[in-house]
Amino acid sequence: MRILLIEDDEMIGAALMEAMKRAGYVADWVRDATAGTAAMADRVHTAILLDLGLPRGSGIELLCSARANGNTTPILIITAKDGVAARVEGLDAGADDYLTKPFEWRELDARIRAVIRRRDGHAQSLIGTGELQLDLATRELVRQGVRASLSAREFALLHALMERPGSILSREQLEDRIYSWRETVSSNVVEVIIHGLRKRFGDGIIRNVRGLGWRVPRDDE
Amino acid sequence: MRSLRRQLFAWLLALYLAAAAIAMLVSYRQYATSINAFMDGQMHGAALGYVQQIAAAAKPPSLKPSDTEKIQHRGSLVVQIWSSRGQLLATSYPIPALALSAQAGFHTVKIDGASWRTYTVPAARFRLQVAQSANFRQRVILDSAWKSVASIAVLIPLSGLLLWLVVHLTLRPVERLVQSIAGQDERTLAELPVTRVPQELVPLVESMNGLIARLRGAFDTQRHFVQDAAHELRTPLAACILQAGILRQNLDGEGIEALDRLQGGLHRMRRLVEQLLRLAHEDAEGPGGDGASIDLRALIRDAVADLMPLAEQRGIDLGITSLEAGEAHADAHGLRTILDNLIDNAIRYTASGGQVDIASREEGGQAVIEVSDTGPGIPSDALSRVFDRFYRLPDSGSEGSGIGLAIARAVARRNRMEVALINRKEPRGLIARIAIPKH
Repeated sequence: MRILLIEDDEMIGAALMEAMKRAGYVADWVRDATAGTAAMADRVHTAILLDLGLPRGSGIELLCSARANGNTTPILIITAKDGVAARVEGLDAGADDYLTKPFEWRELDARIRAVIRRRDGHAQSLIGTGELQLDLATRELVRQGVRASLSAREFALLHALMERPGSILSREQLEDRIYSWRETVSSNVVEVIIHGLRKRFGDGIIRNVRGLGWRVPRDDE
Repeated sequence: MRSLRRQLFAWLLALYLAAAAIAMLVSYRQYATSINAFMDGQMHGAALGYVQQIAAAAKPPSLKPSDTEKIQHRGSLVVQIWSSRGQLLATSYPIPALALSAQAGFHTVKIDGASWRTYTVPAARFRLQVAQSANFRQRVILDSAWKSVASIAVLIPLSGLLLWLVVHLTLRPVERLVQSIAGQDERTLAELPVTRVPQELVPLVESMNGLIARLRGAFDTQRHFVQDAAHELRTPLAACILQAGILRQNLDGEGIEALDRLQGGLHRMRRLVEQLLRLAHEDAEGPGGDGASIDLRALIRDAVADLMPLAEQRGIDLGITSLEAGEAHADAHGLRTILDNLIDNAIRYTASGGQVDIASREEGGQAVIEVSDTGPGIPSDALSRVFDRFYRLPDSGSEGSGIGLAIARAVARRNRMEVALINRKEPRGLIARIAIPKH
């Protein structure tokens, strides 16, 4: 996988290059908008990390012109600019994701993989976090690359929880997902399924939230 | 403290009393002159009448006797007929010590502490002397003078009241000014209106406006500085965090422990920078809008979901005890900021193994969210200060930036919400309470 980094800050650039090398990516680094435009025109990269405040042109302009030229490479904005307006502007201009500095490498890495997955058309088939994914096509759980088959109810429950990792779902919400409206609900079916999943994959796979329900951990935990 | 109102009032009253006293003196003098002249005229006329009677008779006529009441209190004349050799032949009222004046005309004589006004005139072979009590005259003059002044005396309390009213009305613009100054804080700093201000106060208001403008400039500068500084810190901080992450792969044993501490510090700094930006943003905003109808259950669930990782990392049992309040009317983003800060504080200040409970209910037209922890609580003398920026409890260790509560309060103020902290005894801990309008 070849990543293009467009970033003018030496310290961040050096750190990201090092991190990407260790993570097994091949990375190219350019430091201003002009060089960025030229590098993007090659269209050899799998994904692009784009800083917004660049010398000789803004990152947004770069993004717009790339999209206008039909370049569909996944682009991830990494910037110190925050606020809803800046985020919306970036995403509207055609960015695939938007990450505000400062961030940790784990978080950026997870997002790079996510945008690449989406672009590869896996978006519909693979959901979840870096640690734990659900393959919607094969109905399997993918844990650190290892696949495991699931029962229909286990799959339905995990599907609900892993659509938005970190969010909390109540018993009623999970029951709604496990049963169709024709079936009668037995009282502790959610607990039984979760108990079974924890037994197979470890306690940490689904966590309790007292008074609210259950959740699966996010990427940055 | 000197009261302008009291001072003004005292001076005006003193002036008024002095004017009344002077008026009394002047009118007394005037009455004395005119009443004396009038009574002298009366004496003269009466004396002439007697002189005619005496001139027609061979011997002195008999005189109708008078009494003390008439003489002293009604001003009746004492009539005396003397021989030309100075011998008292007849008198209408005995005044033993009153002698015949040597010269004709008016005289004032003092006898045994009583004054008499006399008029002496030759009448044929005799001499006629009439006398009137000068004390009586004095009383008449005083009485008249007092009557004329009495109307002024009645006016004194009345005009005092009027004066008070005038002073009050005069000072009204000052009170208005005070109110418009008191209504300002660092966010709503605005020039005072110069219209409707008395001319004398215009220089004061203008110089005050100059001060306000400079103050606003200083607040703006400070706000921008905080915002810019926090923003500029993000890039180098990002570089440090990334480098620390890379370093982890090259270290083991003691190095890892040191790195953990380094990353802990970086994490705190990251949080502080974000909070400073949030506070600067909050300061820059005007009063919030009316907000919108929001689903409190969903909002609480999202907040708990976001803070769950921190709670798990800290070994805190974060949970919900009740979710009774359904809807409220507020700014959802603002409420999330407040709730996140309160839950974050509760988690950070509670020892591992502790519990943080969130409850919501409806209470008197308001929705209330309470975040209760089993931490140490806040000493009562510090309860009012914990909302101050960068105020941290003496024994709070390295946790917290000291501005989470300041942010919560700033957001609450701007969006018609209230935040309060209450210590509880059983179990010991702190309850942080948000009150949100239902409509």
